[in-house]
Amino acid sequence: MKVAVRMRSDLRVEVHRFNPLLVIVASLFAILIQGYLPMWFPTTAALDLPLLVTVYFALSRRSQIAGLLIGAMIGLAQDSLSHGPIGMFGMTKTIVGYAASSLGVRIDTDHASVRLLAVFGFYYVHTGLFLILQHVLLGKAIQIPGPRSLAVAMVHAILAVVLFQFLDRFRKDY
Amino acid sequence: MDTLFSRYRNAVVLVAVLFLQLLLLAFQIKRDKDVPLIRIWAIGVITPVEKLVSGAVRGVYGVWYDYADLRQARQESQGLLEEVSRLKLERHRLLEDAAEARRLRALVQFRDSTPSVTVAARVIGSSASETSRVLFLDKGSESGLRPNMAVITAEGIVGKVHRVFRGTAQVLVITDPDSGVGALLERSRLHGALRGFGGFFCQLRYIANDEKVEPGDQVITSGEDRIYPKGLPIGVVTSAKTGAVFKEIMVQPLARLNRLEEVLVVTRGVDQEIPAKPEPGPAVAEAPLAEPPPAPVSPGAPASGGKPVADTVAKPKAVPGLEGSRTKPETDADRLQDAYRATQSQKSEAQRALGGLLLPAAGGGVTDMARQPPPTAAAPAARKAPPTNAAPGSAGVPPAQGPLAAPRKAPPTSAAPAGNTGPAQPQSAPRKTQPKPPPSTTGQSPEGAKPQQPAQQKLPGQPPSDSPPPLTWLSPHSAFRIPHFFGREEGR
Repeated sequence: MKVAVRMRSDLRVEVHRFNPLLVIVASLFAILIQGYLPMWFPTTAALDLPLLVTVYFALSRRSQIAGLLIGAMIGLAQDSLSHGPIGMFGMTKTIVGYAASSLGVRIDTDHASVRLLAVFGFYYVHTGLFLILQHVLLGKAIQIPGPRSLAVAMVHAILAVVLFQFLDRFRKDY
Repeated sequence: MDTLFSRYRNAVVLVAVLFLQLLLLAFQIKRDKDVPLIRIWAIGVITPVEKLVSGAVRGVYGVWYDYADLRQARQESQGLLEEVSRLKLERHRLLEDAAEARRLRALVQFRDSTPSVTVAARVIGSSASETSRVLFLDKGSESGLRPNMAVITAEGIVGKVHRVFRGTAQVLVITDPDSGVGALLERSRLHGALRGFGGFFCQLRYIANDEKVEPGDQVITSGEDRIYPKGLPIGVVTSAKTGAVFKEIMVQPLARLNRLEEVLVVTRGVDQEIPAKPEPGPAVAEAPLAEPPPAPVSPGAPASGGKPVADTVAKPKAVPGLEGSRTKPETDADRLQDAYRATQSQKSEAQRALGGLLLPAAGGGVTDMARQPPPTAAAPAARKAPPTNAAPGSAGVPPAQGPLAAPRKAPPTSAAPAGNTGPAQPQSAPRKTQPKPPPSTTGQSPEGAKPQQPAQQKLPGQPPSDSPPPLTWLSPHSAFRIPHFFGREEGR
């Protein structure tokens, strides 16, 4: 792994690299848990753990191409396990990965509050993109998220803070 | 070109990736076909891991669930054991309740069937001494109990109330050596006195050696003691041996005296019917036929059960040559007997005309236990008459009134226990030689002669207390032995 430290004007951004196996295992684990948890706890169906993994790796890698590719792969895998056409989650998470990487290049995302706000925002970005694409490409009506989505977004943000702290143990800092 | 691509590389890659996915999506939508290859790859990658994770999760869950099951099963087992113990106790309690209900039902049936007025009581204790056979009841003077009231069960008599307190009463059981009961052998109609013998047996005394008593004979109350109503079962003869003067007869009480829980206290005794004699007694058969029947000496109480005398009191079979064959009186006793029958017949007709209200014989069976004993001056006199065993009037019936006084002096006159034994039937023949009573406490009136019961309710057919009692034949047996026996009781 190579160290990638880039200086842009007054911001010194730290790039983290991960073992590719860890990325695959973490992505698969997120997809598996996403498929299993609702079997035992139906309320967890609202969680989108692959989204959290996508955001985390995109933010940490600070590479837009890596971010969008991770998002595309996780999204396509998620599509493959769903009943809908393949590509909806792929495109959504590709954009989210790209956006998260772009954000990670500009700000320091190691702080918990930044991660909290970032995940909170990316949850709405992801939901909005998915609804728009679903409306545009599949012709389905847009269901504007209600107040419940606010709680779900907050849960995602809190969970992301904990999960990111856990995954930070496996990253290699440069 | 390279510079432009390198400058917008990220955006180009993004657009390219999005475009590819868009094409893929458009292909699926346009052709309405799935992309099985991607799904197969994805599922092929995901499902083995899913199986692995699922197995692991199920294993962990199964282990945890089994462990939880075991713990739950153990707790459930402990709960079930506690419940079983509780149900066992409840079953035992219910069985006890059922047994008590059966006993009480039998007691209630007996109470309903007996004409006496009774009070149910529960046995709450017994004597603390081996030599004293007493019981304690949970009813006392508050419930109307008074001393010398009979205590009975459906099986037989238990004893008499000895001492009464406010909420409890002490009962002297018939097996106590100091207890005594006026008894009657049901088959042979022989009267005697039942004494407690200690343990679980009683002794029937004052039955002459020449009388025939066999084991298995039923012993019932004679009512002569004025404590126990007539006709109540006492016990069964278990052995009868020839003694010095009298037979030594052992009687086993019918009441389970060692397992009593509920009893009835007779607050107002009413004599019951005595079953008819099943077969002629040996005394009748062995009686010399040439002798005339004894003359009536003492009046007796009315017969029991409210039925005519002939129906209620056992009547000895007519001995050929005595009543049935005699056409005209030959002796004074015969004349007196005829006069008695004529008088009784007239009285019966008159009382039938009155509706039977005052019919002493027909309405009999009511023993006025509360009636004051009449003067018994005639009794010693009668006993002094050499061959005459006069009744002592132990049942409160004047022993010698009207036409009875004279026959008592007649030579072969036998005396019956006057009073509540009912009008005794003429004996088949005079006894050979009646043994004299033991000279112990003679002269004392029997304990039962004391006023022990409250004034008895006038029942139909009950003779008025001031009216002359009906005539009766006297038994040659109880005239001398009852005062002796109950005289000792009185002193207690």
